[in-house]
This record gives sequence, structure tokens and C-alpha cells, in this order.
Amino acid sequence: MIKVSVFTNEIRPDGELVDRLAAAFEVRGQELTVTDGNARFVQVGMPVYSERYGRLIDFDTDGEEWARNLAAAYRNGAVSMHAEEVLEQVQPVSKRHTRAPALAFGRARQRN
Amino acid sequence: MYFVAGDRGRLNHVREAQPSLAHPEERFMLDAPTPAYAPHRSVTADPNVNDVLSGTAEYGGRRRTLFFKPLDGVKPATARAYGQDSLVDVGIHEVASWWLARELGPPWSELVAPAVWFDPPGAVDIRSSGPVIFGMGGSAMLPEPGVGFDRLISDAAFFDALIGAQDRHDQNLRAEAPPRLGLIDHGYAFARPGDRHNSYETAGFFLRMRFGQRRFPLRHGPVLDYSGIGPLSPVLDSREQTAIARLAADRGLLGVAQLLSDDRADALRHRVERMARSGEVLRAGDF
Repeated sequence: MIKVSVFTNEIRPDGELVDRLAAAFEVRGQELTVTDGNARFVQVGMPVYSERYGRLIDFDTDGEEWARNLAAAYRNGAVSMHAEEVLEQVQPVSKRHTRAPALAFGRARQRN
Repeated sequence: MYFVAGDRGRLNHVREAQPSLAHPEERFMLDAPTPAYAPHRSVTADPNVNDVLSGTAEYGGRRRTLFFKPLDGVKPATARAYGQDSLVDVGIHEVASWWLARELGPPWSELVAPAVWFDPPGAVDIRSSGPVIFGMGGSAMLPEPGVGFDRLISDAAFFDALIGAQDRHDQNLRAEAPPRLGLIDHGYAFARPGDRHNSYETAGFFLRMRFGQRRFPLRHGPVLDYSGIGPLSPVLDSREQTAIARLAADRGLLGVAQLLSDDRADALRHRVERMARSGEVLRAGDF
């Protein structure tokens, strides 16, 4: 599972650079859950280059690989990312929960 | 280490020109003591590093955020996908975009982030060098529904058509209220016919608005709604016609041609000719 935090920054009139968390989301396989912030900052159509695929991919190609490489798509100084690979323990089959729909954007908490 | 024939010469031209640059923001970036540039939070789960560095420079009673984009933060494979074979040129394009805006004057010189080239003291590898970008005010989000941004968006669209912007999307900008817009991130620009345009839903953001689009549905996400922006037209206004005429009359493209590879300079001339002939801006991705 990949956890991604999206930060945007603002330059105030006094020149100070201030960061804020714009969105946070988790990608598990092809399941994406927005856990915080504004879903407009979760841009699954943004192409990113994957060494594994040897080409530009988007979320629909491979969700976790896309999330892993997303930071490299933003090199503008205004948007930045922190992606973290989280190793999850495999649960016994009998205790597995039913999977959520493939894309669970509904959980986003708007925070502008 | 250089990357394609000619990029060393283009970079040397920038370096040699910088001591005589006179724009106040250029002078600030060139004359201020080098700030303590630090990575700006971007790390990934992979070995990828998205290292735009930021620092606060102080000089002459002013204090401003600067962004330093060393070339080693550019992923060569991504750059190649956009037809950008030289990492040096990707860096120079930030400077060339600013030079073009500066030479055209207002409104474009007030929209585009000023940029200079920076070689860190003692750097022995060109990949440690790169452009420094002046921090424009505001944040990376055009507020919805965009009321009051009409003129700025129209001006931005013209500039994007001119430079052959490959990667202008809804976050490659800075915006603030009262309406003010800043254009940032011009590494993937000066495209040639057939070069890739970002496939993202908001790529070509300003040009698509100029051609009438106001709603941008994001895949699996919300719809960005800019219905507060009034009618815009692809027809060139008088300032744009003047800008096109100045560029068409100058083979050197107002000093910018020396910063571009021959094929990219030719592509810019061709875009200028086409806009002069049609009297309209080109569509997003029409390089």
C-alpha cells in the first residue's frame, strides 16, 4: 500500500513560504481512498514515468506504481508530495474484510 | 557532462548574458547571497527524488522565496517522453520563457516567473546546476469559479501558445486574490510539431478556456468549474498582434533564439507565422 501526502505552498506578501497539506490518499492495488483534504489534488490522470513499465503510465495502468512515482510528475515548486510504501500483514482468508469499491473518493474531507 | 550538441553553447550564452541583466527580479536573484537551499518536502517511496529546492534570499531590504531546480532532479526518461533530450535545455527553457516574457513586456513580463541560471559554488557536474525561479505570490490553485481572472487567463493562453507549452495544467500556476496569476514550470516547452502534450485532463488549461471550455472533469474525481470566467476569444487582441509582429520581424526572436536549439527556434517562428496568418492563438498541443 502506498500512502501519499500532497502539499501545496503559498508565498505570502511578506515573502514567507507556507506549506499546507492539500490532500492525502492511500492506494492499495487499484483501490484509492482519499483520507484527507481536497480531492481535486488527487489527479489520477496525471501521467508519470515508470521505470518498471518503461513508459508514462496513469492510475488506471497500475495504481500503486503510479502513486509510487507521482512525486516526479511535479517539479514546479508549488506542489510537492511525500509517498510512503506501507507493508501490510496478510490476514488469514477467513478474516478478510469485503473490499471497498475500486475508487472510494467519497471519504474525502474537504479542507480548503 | 552535456547532453546534446549545442546545449553547452546555449548555456554559455545565458551565463555570459547574466552579468548585464537589468530587470530588478533578475538582479535580486543574481546579486543576493545564495540562500540555504533545502529540499522542499518531496520524497517518494522509490529512489525517485523530486528535488525542487527552496530558500529565502535577502538583499537590498527585500526578502523573497526562490526555487532552485538542479538538473539532477529531472528524470531523463520522462524528459525524453516529452521530446526533451537535453536536461540542460529543460533547465534553459525556464530562463528562455522568462526572457521572452521580459522582452515582450507587460502583461506577459508580469505573468511569467523570472528565472536565471545558477551554478552552485564549486559544482563540478552540470547536473548540480539549474535554473533559479523567483517565487511568485499565491498558491497552486486557480480559485473556482474564476471570477476576475478573465484577462489574466487570456494573456496566459497567448503565452502558452507562443512557447509551445507541453505541461500547463491547473497546478502549474500560482494564483491569488485580488486576481493575480503567475506562470511557473516551463521546462517542457518550446515544443516542436509532433511533440507530446501532457494527456492530463487540465493540460492546456488556459488555452482551452480561451476556446470556451469552463468545466474540467477530473477522472474519478471532481469537476473543476470555472463558469465565473466570462467569454474569451481565440482572436488575437491588439497587444498580441503587436507581440506577434515584433517576433515575426526579428529572426533572433528578441534574443531568445540563442537560447533554443535550431529546431525549437524554427518551431517558435512557425507558430508566430501561423498566428499572424490566422489572427488567432493556436490550440493547446498544436505546436
